[in-house]
Amino acid sequence: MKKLRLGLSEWRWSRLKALDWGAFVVFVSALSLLLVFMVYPIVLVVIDAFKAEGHFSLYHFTTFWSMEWYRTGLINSLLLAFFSVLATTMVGVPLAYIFVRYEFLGKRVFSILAIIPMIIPPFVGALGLRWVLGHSGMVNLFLQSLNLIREPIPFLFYRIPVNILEVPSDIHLGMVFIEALHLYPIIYLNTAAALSNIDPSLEEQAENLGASGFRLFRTVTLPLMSPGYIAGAVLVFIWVLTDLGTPLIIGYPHVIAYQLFSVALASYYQSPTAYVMSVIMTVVSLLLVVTYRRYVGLREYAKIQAGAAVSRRVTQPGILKLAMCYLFLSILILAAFSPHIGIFLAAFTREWSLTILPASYTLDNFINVFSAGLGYIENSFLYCTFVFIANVFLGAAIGYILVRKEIPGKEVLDYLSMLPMAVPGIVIGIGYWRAWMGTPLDPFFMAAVVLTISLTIRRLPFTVRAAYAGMLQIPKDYEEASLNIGAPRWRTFIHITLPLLLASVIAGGILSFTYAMLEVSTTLILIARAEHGTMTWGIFQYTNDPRYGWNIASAMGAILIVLIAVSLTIVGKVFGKQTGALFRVG
Amino acid sequence: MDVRLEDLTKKFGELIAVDHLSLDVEEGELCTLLGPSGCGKTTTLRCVAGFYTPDEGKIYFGDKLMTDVPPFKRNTGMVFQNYALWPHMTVFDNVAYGLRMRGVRRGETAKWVMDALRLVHLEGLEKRWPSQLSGGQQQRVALARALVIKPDVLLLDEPLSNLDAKLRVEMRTEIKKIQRELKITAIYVTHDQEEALSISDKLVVMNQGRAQQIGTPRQIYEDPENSFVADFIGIANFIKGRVKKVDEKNLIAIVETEHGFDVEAMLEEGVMQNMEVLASVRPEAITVYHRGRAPGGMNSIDGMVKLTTYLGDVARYEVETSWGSTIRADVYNPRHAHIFSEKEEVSLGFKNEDTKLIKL
Repeated sequence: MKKLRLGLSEWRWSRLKALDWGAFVVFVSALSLLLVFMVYPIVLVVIDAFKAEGHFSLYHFTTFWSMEWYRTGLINSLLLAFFSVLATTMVGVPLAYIFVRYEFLGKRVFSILAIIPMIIPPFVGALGLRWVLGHSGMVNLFLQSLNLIREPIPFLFYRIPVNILEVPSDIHLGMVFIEALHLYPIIYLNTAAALSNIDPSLEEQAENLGASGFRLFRTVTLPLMSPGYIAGAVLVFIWVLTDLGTPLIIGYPHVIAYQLFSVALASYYQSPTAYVMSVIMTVVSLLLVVTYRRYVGLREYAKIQAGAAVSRRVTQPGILKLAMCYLFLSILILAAFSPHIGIFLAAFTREWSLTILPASYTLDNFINVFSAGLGYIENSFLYCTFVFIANVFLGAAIGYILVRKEIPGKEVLDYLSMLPMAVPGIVIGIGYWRAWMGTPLDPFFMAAVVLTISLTIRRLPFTVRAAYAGMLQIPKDYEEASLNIGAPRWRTFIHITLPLLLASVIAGGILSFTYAMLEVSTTLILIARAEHGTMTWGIFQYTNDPRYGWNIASAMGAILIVLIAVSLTIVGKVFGKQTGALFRVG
Repeated sequence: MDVRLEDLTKKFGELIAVDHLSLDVEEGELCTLLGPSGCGKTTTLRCVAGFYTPDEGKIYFGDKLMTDVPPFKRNTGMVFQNYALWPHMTVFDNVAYGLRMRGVRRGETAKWVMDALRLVHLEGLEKRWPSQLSGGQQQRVALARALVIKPDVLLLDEPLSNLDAKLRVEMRTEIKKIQRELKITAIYVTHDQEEALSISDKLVVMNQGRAQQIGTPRQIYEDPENSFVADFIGIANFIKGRVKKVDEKNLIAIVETEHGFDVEAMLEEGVMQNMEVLASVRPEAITVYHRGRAPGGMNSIDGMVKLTTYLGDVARYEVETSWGSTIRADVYNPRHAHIFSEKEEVSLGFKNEDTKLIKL
């Protein structure tokens, strides 16, 4: 704040006169929106976490840590996130290297198939995997039918007990598998983008000086691509740490997100323990993002642009390498498809137990979804359409201001508009209850409104980033030329800037829309009544129904998958190979 | 409309980009701001266009004070270095834009746009997109776009620097013709001295934010006021010395150079005995003779040819003097002259009327 005031005092009256008041008003509105609907609720949560009997106190933190159940949850979550990063790295980095650096038959097809997991939300993936790898899933039944095993193998539920800080915890390999299977494309896309942005001459120079093979990779290639990789890794870590949907579907309550959710529900959304857990999750996420931004710098996303630089260092792999590539890719794609197979088979059947494939097929689940569940679909589209419109405008305005305008305090807007990437959705949900309960925005009555606002803010980074990247593509001269021949600022923005910016912002908006449709954590926390429910909320409701609930949930999941597939295809057309960079944090 | 800058100063943080610049551009005059990169010429132009608000000083168009008027109300037409044609509009729409902003009626707009395109010889291309045009054509569209609004002042920011050499010469002649024909006041920024000399009515040589000299191209070239101008415009050979004698009758000053010999130069106003000066001679004013053959009554310096470059229309010599510095001499039309080869001992001769004194 001190710095900001200093900046103001240096301002001269003549500068003030030259200030673009229109932009200033937009700036202040965007800033207020973020402050009121993101910062304020979180601040309330943080204050309450550090307050006992009206005073500053660490009481709630010590209480939290004194309970072994919670310690286990926290450590499990961190372990889960760490091992998920490890697993996604082991898949994503080689994948990036193969696709960027090798030329082989079927590369295009494989590279499209490899990002298939992106079109399935993780909890839907978990749902699908239960049909394939669950206790009575396809694989276990198949192995049993061959008499290879007697007892089913707990693929999705296997845990390695470990003891960390004398806290009994475990590494949930099943969860790691599910998370990694969904999230490796993030590592892959970020790394691939970084890898193909490397100036070939840098590596050629190293080769010229005698480096080759792994040594070349370790000394030159790896450091150059690491910013991209780290961006992906940070995102994966935060995603897993704050994921609520997957542990709910798998039924694994020993992670912090799940515990936070249960505590919140049990205490009618206002437990100090829930606030403490919110603070911990937020601090871990923020630390990662801030560290990342320090390390890589803000300018990293300046590189996102339509059409990637093509690396000229593409080689034909030898026969052995080629065989390994194909083997790796085949296993990966088989695994990547298994959740989809599970979901789609389950969606079209009601008779599927104790047989490897369903006994008969039916459209009943979809009929069910489109009759009884129609309200969920309508709500989702209603909320998310608003999110789309709001984010296109907000994103364009903020991106424009960030790139073009000199307004004191601009950096604050820059940070705040990227912050939602780092603030866990579940924490936003808790914060909204804390901030708006008993007000005209009480989520119990106004879930539709507050959820829409929270989704707008949480998905804002997509359009801001898209607009930012788009703005960097527009030479300042275009706007100056327009000002010069008589168009005032707003007309210049409407006639020149906006048309040139529109494709990228709309693409960002489609991402906003899609990922608002898939939102789980804020949705589950904020929605207390079925009439406000969305598709994701509905999926979880259906899973409570013991009869055909899981099949109906799968049908709803299948609809979501198709939806994402369509929207990502559109976005991919606009952003090309750089699409992955839109998912970055920081 | 005439343009007047009074004590214009523009700072970027610590850096003073334009430093108390005063300038009068007469109505219908083409005034060039010339200088090395970072000299403040573009900043000055952008202040005139209204993209920068000056920290001090005033800008007048005619009698109107424009200092705080936003760019879109100044009625200037600017041609940008990279043309800045909007890629989402056709040539027609690009040119028509300014008219639409002014609320000109549809039919009139079309007529004016066509007139402007005819003026820059682009008739028939109005339906093209900017990406379908060559660099030269884009340049013409940018010019038409700036002219069609009948601006009070035409501003050109290094408009030719993205064109190839031949096109550059062609376009600058054309810009000059159009500017004359329309009798429009124009401010032209360039770092190319040949371009500046050929196109300007008035030339401002700038360095480090200051106007070093303002004058006609001829004044600037033949009568540079300081060593920066002499050196930046064309090439000059400098010899440092002290005025030994002032001959008011013949308008000649005799300078004792720091290397011991005397040089005769034209007497400048204000040059007095014992003044420290630079004697400057243009390469084309120097003739190269065999050692000792320089005619009497001429200044003469001995040296050895270090490098000979034969360019057809000119033989260019770099001659090393006895005190180790290099003097350049250009001998034009060398068809019938002896071409000296490297290491040949020569004498350089130049007339006192070609020797210009610059006060230090």
